[in-house]
Amino acid sequence: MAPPLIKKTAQGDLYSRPSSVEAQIDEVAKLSPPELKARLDVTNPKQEGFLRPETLVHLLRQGIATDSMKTFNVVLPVLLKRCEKTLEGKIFNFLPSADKLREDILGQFAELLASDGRGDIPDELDFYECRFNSAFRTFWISCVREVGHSGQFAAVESEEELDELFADEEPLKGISDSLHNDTPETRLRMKQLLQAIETLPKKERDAVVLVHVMGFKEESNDLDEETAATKCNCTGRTIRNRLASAAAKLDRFQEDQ
Amino acid sequence: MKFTQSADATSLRAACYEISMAKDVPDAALLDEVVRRYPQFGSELTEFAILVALDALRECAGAHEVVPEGGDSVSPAVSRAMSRFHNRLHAESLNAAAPAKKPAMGEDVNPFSGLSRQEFRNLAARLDTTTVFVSKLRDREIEPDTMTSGFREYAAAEMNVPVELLNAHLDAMRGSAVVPARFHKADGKPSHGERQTFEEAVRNSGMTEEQRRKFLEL
Repeated sequence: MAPPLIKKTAQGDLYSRPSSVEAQIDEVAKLSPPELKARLDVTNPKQEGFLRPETLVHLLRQGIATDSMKTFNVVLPVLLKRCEKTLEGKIFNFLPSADKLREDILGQFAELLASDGRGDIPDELDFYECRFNSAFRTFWISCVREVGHSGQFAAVESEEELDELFADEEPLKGISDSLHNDTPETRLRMKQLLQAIETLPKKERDAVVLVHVMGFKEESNDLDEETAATKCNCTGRTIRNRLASAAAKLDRFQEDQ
Repeated sequence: MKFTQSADATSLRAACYEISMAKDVPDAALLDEVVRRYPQFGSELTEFAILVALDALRECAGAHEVVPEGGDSVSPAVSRAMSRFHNRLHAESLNAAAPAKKPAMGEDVNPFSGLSRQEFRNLAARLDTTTVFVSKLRDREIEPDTMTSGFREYAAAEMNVPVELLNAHLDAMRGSAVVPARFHKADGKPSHGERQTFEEAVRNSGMTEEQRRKFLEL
């Protein structure tokens, strides 16, 4: 039985590993080194025997704590190879320094693994034993923001102050539906929408995500209420203009497909 | 995500984790709640939440489902990340013993730097060579490309450090080695002239013929 995590949520509850991770950690503890190696060679998450990244982080931490080089020498490359693949899909090649950025993030992550129990957030790796993909997403996005590439998913900015535009926002309304109904059809639709969203200027993209993904109101009469307008530091009319412009572009994009 | 960051950056990172750990796709209520606790980072957290939401959309669309290749081969980027892991691990173990010696982020770790004079001599004896030759390794006076992997593995095993750590030291740019001042007499400080090849270093370090042959066969 793996020791419990010590990181606490903002509400004071302890973070805990999913039961499937706990079970896998117990199972792996009984494996011989060749059996562990065979399990590490399973790279497809859908294949039987695949070791979850949360389990790999646990094994690494255990290996470091017990100074077991054998453990972390076999687990580390597997985890880093998976992270490398993830970053290839996230840090887009059109960035002039994409390769360097990906490599630097990977290196920083390797250092984070090595400094378990130390640093500014000593129990940071608890997040990775709990929900690896979410934690790693935090890590790489923070790295991207630090080097000033957070606009990487958006097109070049060009916005004029316009009279209020009106457009059919139907294409945008589909985003929320697709998010909450995971079917092959919604996946395909989401893929098309996503391609279109990534071509939007950053301000339009932000308005779309704030309103149609995160559920912020465009604006409010309540001065204390946070809205897309307050988040973007602009008026409600500007938000509506951005949404209308985005909807028109998404519509055109979908017609062209 | 630097380890030498300010308290502010640490708080921001903690707030970002709170957002992404709470829900796959952050919503208005979650962002508001976290911003209320970290009001100084309102705009940063909003930007972060938007990027998280976009990435969640991408995963929902299955846009980047990737499976790494199996087998033991690793890319140069993974290999360098592993070196950084071992460097960091070694630095942390030195820190545990002597907190004042903590190297700056990204600084190469010299596996020779923690050795006392006697330990340095003992290492030369274990390697079956002279202290002159070990000094050349320590001060990166040998052209890295001329050192065989056999020699590197042999040296790392005798030094009891991961070969990746030794490689990171030997392959690093010259002149940045972290060397205690006590090793340098006035006329013995590391020079910054041309590096020697491995063979030249073996032949010009006072080793016996037998030692030279052994090293050149590694």
